[in-house]
Amino acid sequence: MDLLEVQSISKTYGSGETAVHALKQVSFSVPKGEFVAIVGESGSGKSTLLNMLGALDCPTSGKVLIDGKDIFSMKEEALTVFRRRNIGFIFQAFNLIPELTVEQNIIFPVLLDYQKPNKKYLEELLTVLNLKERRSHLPGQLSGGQQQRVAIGRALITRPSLILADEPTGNLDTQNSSEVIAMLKEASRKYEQTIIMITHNGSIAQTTDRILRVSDGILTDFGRGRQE
Amino acid sequence: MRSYLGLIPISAKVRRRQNRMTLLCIIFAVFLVTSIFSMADMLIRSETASVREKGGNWHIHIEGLTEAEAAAIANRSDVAAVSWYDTVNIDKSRDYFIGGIPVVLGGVDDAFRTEIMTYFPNEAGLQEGEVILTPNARHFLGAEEGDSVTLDTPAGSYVLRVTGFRSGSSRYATDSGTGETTALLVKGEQVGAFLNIAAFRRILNENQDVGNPVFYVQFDERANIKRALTEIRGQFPDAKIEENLILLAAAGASENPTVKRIYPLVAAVCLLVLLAGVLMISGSLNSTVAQRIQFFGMMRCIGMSKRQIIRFVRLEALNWCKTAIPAGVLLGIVVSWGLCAFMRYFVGGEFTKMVVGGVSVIGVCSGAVVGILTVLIAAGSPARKAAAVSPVAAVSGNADTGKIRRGRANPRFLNVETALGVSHAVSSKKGLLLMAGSFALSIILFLCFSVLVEVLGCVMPTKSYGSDLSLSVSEDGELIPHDLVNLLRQMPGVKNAFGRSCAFAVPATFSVDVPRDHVDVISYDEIQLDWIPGDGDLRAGGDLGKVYGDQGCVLSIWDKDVPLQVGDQVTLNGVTVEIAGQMTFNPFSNNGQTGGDVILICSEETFARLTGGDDYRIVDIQMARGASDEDVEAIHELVTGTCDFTDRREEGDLSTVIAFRLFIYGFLAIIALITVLNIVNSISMSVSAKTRQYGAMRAVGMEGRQLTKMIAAEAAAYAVTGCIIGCGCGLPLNRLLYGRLITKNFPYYMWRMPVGALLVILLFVFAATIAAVYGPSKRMCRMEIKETINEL
Repeated sequence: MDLLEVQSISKTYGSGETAVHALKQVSFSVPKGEFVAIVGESGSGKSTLLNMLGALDCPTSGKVLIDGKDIFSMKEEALTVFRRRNIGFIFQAFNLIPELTVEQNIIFPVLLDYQKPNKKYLEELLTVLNLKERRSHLPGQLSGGQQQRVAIGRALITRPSLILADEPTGNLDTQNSSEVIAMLKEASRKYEQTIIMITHNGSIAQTTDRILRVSDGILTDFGRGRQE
Repeated sequence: MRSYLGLIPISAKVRRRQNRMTLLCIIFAVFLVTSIFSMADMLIRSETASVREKGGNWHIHIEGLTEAEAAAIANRSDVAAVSWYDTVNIDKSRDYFIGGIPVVLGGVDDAFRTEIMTYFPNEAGLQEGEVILTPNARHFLGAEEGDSVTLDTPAGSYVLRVTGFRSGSSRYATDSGTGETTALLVKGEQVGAFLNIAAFRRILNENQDVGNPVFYVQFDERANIKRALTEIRGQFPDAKIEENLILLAAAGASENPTVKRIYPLVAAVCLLVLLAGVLMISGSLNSTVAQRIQFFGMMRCIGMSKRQIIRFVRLEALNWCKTAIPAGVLLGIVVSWGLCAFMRYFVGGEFTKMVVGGVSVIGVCSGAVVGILTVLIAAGSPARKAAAVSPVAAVSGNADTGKIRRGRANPRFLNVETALGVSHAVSSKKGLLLMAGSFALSIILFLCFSVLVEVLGCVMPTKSYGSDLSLSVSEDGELIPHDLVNLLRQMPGVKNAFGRSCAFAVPATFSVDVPRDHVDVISYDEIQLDWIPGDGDLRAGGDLGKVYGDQGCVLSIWDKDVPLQVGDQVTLNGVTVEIAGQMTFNPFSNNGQTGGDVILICSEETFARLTGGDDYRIVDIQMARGASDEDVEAIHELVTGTCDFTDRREEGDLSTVIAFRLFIYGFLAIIALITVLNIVNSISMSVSAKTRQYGAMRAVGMEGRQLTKMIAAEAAAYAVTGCIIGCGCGLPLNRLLYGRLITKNFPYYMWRMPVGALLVILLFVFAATIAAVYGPSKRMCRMEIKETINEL
């Protein structure tokens, strides 16, 4: 079954002569557990597409179904809860809360849901992400790679079915980049999570299950399999 | 951390520097409320204490009650003390004498002496056969404590033992007027004698005389006086009830229409203080929210709902209350101590009873409650703003992503940075209106409140000629000779003594058409003439110099119904004089108008030539600071029998004026301070919202100096627009209020452009703008370029 189904979404900013068509009739679907890379030039519409998938922005037309649910038909409050439980975000700039420790940053989304964090799962995540020694550190005391691993932990803590990552390795060196990607792959395999990642790095894109290219708002599916 | 809200205290610790401004605003708001309410409480306490001491501790007195009705009131559980009070022969119409001196008889219950009035000596009893005399009895009767005096009445004589002498007097305000008294204030050759009410009635009975018994009631401190009063009024509809105005007003139970008009005014001022607090806190909260747009965007991304964000911002604000409220309350208490000490030791007068070092429970509670309330109200708008942040802000880092800017910078006439700054300001009409509006609001508020300062000047003028004692010719008495005034000037405690001669209804002809055929002429000596320009009493266009000596010139009093102008001539008793100047208003009437009469003021020399006389009709005396009651009594004794003597020392007490001034200027200062905070916050917010843009500009080579210039240009655009709107709305409002509050009541005061107030507030606005630019531009210049582009 497809976890994500995108049905001819378009996004236009402005109107008349100044109208910018960021996305034009984009359709695709992603099955559960697949690791997808979105590539494309700057300004091609990749980030706009990712924002639509995460319900951060509304399309001008078209539908996005996650687990069969039309996310744009939901009311604001319901959408927030849906996003909290089903979608995890990873940003290029990490966007951690600087005043919280590694552990607090990771469990934060669970607290937002008024739940108690599952201690066993938290320990497991800290182990997988190799952050056990650093659990009480503040983000400012970590390297870029470690900070991005915390962001991954935060995205995984609610066991979302979909993880959206906007250039997660953009601020990292090669060594840290491969570690982060390995971790994402591991998560995708272990917890059966669907990951959609924007990247500029061709070689990283090559390691994913599938590559989608966005060019001038039009999506092309390269459908490339994972090179294992 | 158990809940997401656990982030609040952690974050507060880390962001201490950024939150400093908000914290200061809350502290200031709480301090403001605490100190204002504490001061109000202390003032009311000192005022009521002073009223209790001066006029007695009673709430109402009732005329026309029977004994049984009085007993019914006395038995009420909410009544603390009652007493009958009756008096006869104040007008010397009866033949009651002690030692040949006419006597005023007063009859009182024990409670009157012990609980209600303060002018009875503690140790002096008032049993049957005992009497308390007015202090002048020592002089007239040579009586001392323990002596026996004989009261002679037509029905017989009564021997009474003197147990003491009344000390001090009593003066209180009721519905019917001020200056009522129970202290048997006797005039001339007359003494007063307080008797036990039973003895008093017996004497009256035996003389077949009746008095006018009044029943004094003091309510319990915890009583609901308003309800008790309504019940009593309902129970005895025919009785004449008079209020002890100040005490009832302080208890919130007065039915007096003037007092009732004051209650909503007090409520309005409280509301204004609350509003000021809300504006300040809300402004600075908005600013902190604007600086954290990306943070809230990220929170939304990781699943914080709008409601949770609102709760987060509200609780964050409440968290600041933890430190801000105690700090504000403490500051408020300390400042109110300082103010109380100032009022007590420097202002004096009726404030000498102010308690220094006391804590007002009302002040502290209202400070704390209003603090929390204000924070909750103030946090509402920023919380909603934070909740409205799109999650995209986390990804893009800017709040206004996707918005298309319509304004276009025009660098043809200005430097590019100045042009950009101006364009930032004018590009969003709504933003410009809001920012300019906040500047304008302060200007409007200031201009409106500044009218109150002038109202005060009109209602309570502080003129140089204000006197402490006044002597006037008694009915059919002789005029006051110059020698007496010279003698008075030599007496101890006298600062100034000056007299006025008057000639009323002198037939006169005028060089212009005036609907009168006579004038009143009043002479001023040199000192009074000297005071005229300083007091602002001379209308423009006059030449006071011509009035001194005998130069044939006089002043006339301006009145809308008198068509005389400077240069016109008046002929009286065959002598023609020219009007050299005009007084702005008539100092000899309560409303400042002459009612169409022509009143001329001239020097003593001119007066003598015009009327032939030069003795005074009125002599005013100003006492030196620190002059004693003995000094006043010596003057009284000197003039007794020659002229009427009036002691105005209490009326001329400046303490109330100073207290009012302090209050109004305090309020103006608060408005000015709010202006500064508001402007600083507004500019800081506007800069924060454009952090990324400024970062990008610096990245492409904009210097710190240019950045500052750009921010300054933006701020100046807001300030100029705000000043135009503020003056455009504020000046007509100022004029309207002036007309309603001043010209309507005092027609001789005409509205003039409030140049002083305008300059003060405009200078303040511009100084605040400069100060407001400094902080944010320094922040931007110090920030790493990378940080400003992608700031969290």
